[in-house]
Amino acid sequence: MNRTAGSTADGVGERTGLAARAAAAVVAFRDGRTGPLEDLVREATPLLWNVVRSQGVERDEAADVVQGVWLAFVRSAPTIREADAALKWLVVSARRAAWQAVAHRRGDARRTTTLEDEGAPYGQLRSPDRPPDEVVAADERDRRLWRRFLLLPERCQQVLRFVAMADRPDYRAIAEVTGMQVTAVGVTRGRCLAKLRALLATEEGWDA
Amino acid sequence: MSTDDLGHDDHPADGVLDDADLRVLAGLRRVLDAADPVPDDLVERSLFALSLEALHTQVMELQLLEVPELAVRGEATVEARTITFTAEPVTVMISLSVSPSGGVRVDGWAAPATRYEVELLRPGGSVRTESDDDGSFVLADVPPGPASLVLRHGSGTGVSTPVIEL
Repeated sequence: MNRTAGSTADGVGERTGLAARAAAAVVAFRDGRTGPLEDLVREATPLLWNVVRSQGVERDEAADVVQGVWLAFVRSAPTIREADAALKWLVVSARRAAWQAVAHRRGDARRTTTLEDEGAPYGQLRSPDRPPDEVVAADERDRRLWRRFLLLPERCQQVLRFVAMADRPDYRAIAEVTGMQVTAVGVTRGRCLAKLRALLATEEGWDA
Repeated sequence: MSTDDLGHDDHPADGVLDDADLRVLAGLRRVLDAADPVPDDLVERSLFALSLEALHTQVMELQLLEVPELAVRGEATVEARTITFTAEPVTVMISLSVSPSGGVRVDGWAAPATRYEVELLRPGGSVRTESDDDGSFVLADVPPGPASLVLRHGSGTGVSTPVIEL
């Protein structure tokens, strides 16, 4: 395998972006080089954070979950069969760990108090402690963007949230997180972006 | 004010992202970051956990031998305290005190007495020094927080302390 990790035409093929860098990090790690993995931790932590938080895990616990996913990742690196699927591995693990954390907390809550928010309609996306309509965005354009974003179907919100947090994630990773068919991801992403842009077009001055 | 490039009906559903797409996504990322920022120390904490994990495959972990009661992690100030670790045949004793700048001073002694490479791993980086021939070393000023000391001698297996709160 070509070892020039920085090259655009290296062993991971033509794909670039986060998925390719995740794959390269696994290959390098197996090779005893940890630099690319450290870069990946820096780059992909915000994505994993969002995956975990979007499952309704509290902030403190989400930090532990994300750290645990990274640990599991290096422990599994020697046995991840397809380095190419490393990003997918990460988001699947993050989502599972988040589910477990939520299930655990609900179990605790059930034993100690009555359940709140059972079946809250936006539980999938809403941070439990910070409703998105109260987002304090630095500028008015971003607040408008957020309001329009919230008008999108939930599936669109999930996909765009993911695409926004990751530099060119692969479709397999998105499909895993959203439960979509891989073949539907590209089309959905395009349609959702078009929808959001159409909504923004009704706003004055968003895209100055 | 210009909305001329928005709202195209013929926006390709599965194409390359164009500039307007990228601007929307960048805006979305800004908003998500503002709404629910990733904790500042999460990346460093994760990297620290990974470096310890990697370490454990290479070194022997020292066991806490003796820890005075004061060594319970002091929240407000760093107490002067001494902690001893051991893993046959190596014993490491460290004494922690407050440095002039308000950080932590680590005075250490390792036995058997010889020259060790000493590394203090902490979230956000590591600090290295060397012991003298008697096995004593000083890290004059390190920030408080979780850390793990690693000692290596020649080509032999290194030893590391469990994570301690400086």
